[in-house]
Formats: sequence, structure tokens, C-alpha cells
Amino acid sequence: MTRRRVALLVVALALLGLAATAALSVRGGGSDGSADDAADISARRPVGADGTTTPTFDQSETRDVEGNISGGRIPVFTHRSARLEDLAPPVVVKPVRLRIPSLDVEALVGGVGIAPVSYELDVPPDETLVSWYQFGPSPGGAGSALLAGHVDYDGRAGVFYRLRWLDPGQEFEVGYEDGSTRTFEVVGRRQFEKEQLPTTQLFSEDGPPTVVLITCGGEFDEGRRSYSDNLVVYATPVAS
Amino acid sequence: MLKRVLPFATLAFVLVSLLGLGTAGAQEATGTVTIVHGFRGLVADVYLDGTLILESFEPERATDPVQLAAGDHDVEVREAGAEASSAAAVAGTLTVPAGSNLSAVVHLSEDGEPTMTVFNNDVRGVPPGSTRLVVRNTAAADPVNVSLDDAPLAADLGNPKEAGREVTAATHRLSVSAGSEVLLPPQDVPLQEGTAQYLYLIGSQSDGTVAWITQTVNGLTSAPAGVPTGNSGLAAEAPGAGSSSVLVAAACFFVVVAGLGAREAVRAR
Repeated sequence: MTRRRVALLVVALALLGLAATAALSVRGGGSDGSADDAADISARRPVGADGTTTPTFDQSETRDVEGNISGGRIPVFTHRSARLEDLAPPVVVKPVRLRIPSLDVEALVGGVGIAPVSYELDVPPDETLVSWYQFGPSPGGAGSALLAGHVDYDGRAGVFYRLRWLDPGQEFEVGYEDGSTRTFEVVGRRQFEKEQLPTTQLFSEDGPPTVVLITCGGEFDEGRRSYSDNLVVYATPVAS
Repeated sequence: MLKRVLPFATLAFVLVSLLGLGTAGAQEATGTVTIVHGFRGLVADVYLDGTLILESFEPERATDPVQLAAGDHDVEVREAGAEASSAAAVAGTLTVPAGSNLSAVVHLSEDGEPTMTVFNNDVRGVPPGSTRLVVRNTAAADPVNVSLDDAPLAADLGNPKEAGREVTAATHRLSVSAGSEVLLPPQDVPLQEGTAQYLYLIGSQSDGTVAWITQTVNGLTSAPAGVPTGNSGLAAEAPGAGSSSVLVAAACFFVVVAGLGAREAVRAR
């Protein structure tokens, strides 16, 4: 074998190694077949389609008029009461309970907001509770409803310790404050580095109803007492 | 090499720039406008550039936001049913810069004369969990002090001025005074996350008819910065096989080896 052939063989092997590395990194990302679809269905749509307090103007209502309107087009003006007494936040039926039979999870759900300074989800220091992001939709409402739980806390396994074993096809049940329940089916599971977490999508307030179960995962940084990743499970309502 | 490519690159750049300008020009420039009626006692016909756009528009109502062509628009407000040629009760020019978000408010001046004021709405996103609360004095009243949950929100706010800040999204209590006179006792204001809430003080201090009317701008929400849900490492993946840093190191190694191999191959030829 000539020196050139040896060199070319080295190049080929190195490229093969590179390809294998790339393949490994894709698998290591924890992506499975349906996860990307699940990610897409909650993709953010243009703002204002929520139709709650002030639905935005529908461009299709724009009509041409004869005459001297500047710009040649004038929209239809719809109007509503501006009285302070008529200002009411939209009614949301809150989730209060979560049951995941395949993981033997039965937990209380509480609404949480935003932690001051960090602007992170204000997850309480109780590893048995599930936290619902109260400024987003309730599970089953338009957009992405988010339920977070600890994987562990102060040395104790948390309510979502086994979340990484919840697979597509498995179901869970959400109980609401009015006594009703609703079943959701897992459609995907993904792991993201915390810096890469697609928060805009996970907290989207419009689009098809999606429920996101989220906890921590990946490597653990002993110094910062923090995980490198978030583990995300996507689910959609089961038609009842 | 560079000398040969440069003229083509320049030409391509110029063409792309021209194309960009062309499409920008073709798209009609607009601004967003909301009309707010804060003049009690006048059921109004509102004309825009001479065309009746709102018929029998009741006080204490506001339009939904609409897109208007950028530029100057004439606004005339007449008593409902009045001839289009009759003198307007309120008339003014609405200047709409492209991309702006404006509120045109028909209201009383400090002296109690009907007038129109155009406010610029700050519709930048708000931090997660918060609401942008803005108060605007459009009442026939002395400059007012506005308190939010017993702390000052606006001091000595004259007509037609505004003041505000970002606050936690929750129900807050607002009260209004002018000097030592209480104009409005504490009143609940439910604020929704990810919105801007504009509150207009209307009515007349001398008649004792001061009240708030309001306008909501939706869609200013932003997502939480992260989800901290573990602090003990019980579920930690072992750093090693499959960890991203090892994979990156491996990739770098193979790239370097491939490079060295390629160099040898070229030399050996």
C-alpha cells in the first residue's frame, strides 16, 4: 500500500468516526419519532388569536371604500365597553390533581407564577407537588399548558422522578377544581439543555391544546446543586 | 481570486438590496389605532377623513385596534345624527407613523372643554408574570395623585399626561386624589399577565363624575426564564458515554485526523 493510500484510508476512517459521533449525538438528545411532531403542534402563532378580552382586528374585514380616505382603505371599527367594572380576566378552570397510572403517580397540583429576580418558574420547595403555570392555559385549553414537578429535592425523589420512563402512547389524567377530569395521551419526550429550552413554545398561549410535563435531568452539577437539562413530555387530549 | 469575485459580489449585493427596497415599498405602511370615547353626554358620530366610521358611538366605549395607513388623518366628532357638514364638536389631526400603536381619546380638557388627545402606546413585551399599568389623566380635574396598593403610582399628573410601570399580574387597588380631595376611593383593577392596561381618568371633578375607563393591549407576554426542578442529583446521568462534551471532543478528534490524513494524501501525490 502506498503512503497516499494509507492517508486516504485514515481520512475515510476519520469521516466514518465523525458520522458515528453525529449519529450518537442525535440519539443522545433523547429525541424519538413523534417528539418533533409534538413540538411542532404547539408552535407559536401570531399574537392576538386568543379571543379573550380584546380580540384583535381581523384583516379580512378590511373593505375598500370610494372617496378620499387617506391610503385608500378604511377598516371596520368594532367596539366594546371600556368601563373598568366590565374588565374581567378570562375564566379558567384550574387543574388540582394529576394521576399517571403507569408511573404510580398521584399528586396535588397548585398554580405557580414567576420567581422574583430570576424570572424562572416559581416551583415551591416541596417534591410531592406538581406546579401548574397559572399565567398559561389550563390543561386542555388552547396552547401549551405546563405542569412542572421536581425530579428530586433535598435528597428525596420527587413526584416526576420517573418521568423519563413515561413513553408515547401512555396516558395520564388531570382533575380540575370543578370536579371534572380529562385524559391526555403522551405523544413525545425530549431532553433539552437548560439554555436551549424552547420556552416560547413550551409556554405558548395559542395553538392546539398541548400539555407539557417537565422536570430536570441530564448531568448534575454538585457545585451549583443543579441539573444540566430539562426533560419534557408532550401530550394531547384524548377525545372523550 | 478576491479581485475576480468582488465585482460579482458587489452586483449581487446591490440587486438584493434593490429587491428588498422594492418589496418594502410595495407593502402598505400602517399603524395601529384605537379610538377611546371618554366624553360623557355625547353620543357621537365619528368621521375619519370625511367618512362616517362610527355611528352613535356611546361614551365609555373603545374600538378594537385597527390598522390605518401611515400619514395624517382628519378626525371629526359630531353629535349623533348631526349633518356631516355641520360644525364638529371635536376635530383634530391623527398623525399615524408607520409601525406605531396609538390611542385617540375624545375627552374633556382640564377646563372642561371637549378635546381629542393622541397617546403613544408602549407595546413592547413585558417580563413574565407582569402587566404594564399606565394611567392617563383625561378628566376635567386638577392634577391628580394616583395610588397603587397604597403606594404612589403617579404624582401631580396633569391633563393630558400619563404615568405607569410594570407591576405583578394580579388584582391591584387604585385610588385617586387631587390635593386633599379624594376623587376615587380604592377600587379593584384585575390585571392580566402579558398585557398593557391603559386606564383613562374621565369625567369632571366639579360635577363629582370622575371615573376610570380602560383599554387592554394583549399579546405582550414572554415565557419564564427556566424551570428549576431538582437539586440533589438522584437522577443524574453519569458524565461519560452519550454526554455532549465527550461527543464534541470525539468529533473534534475525528475532524483533526481527517485533516491530517488529507494533507498527507495531497503531499504523497
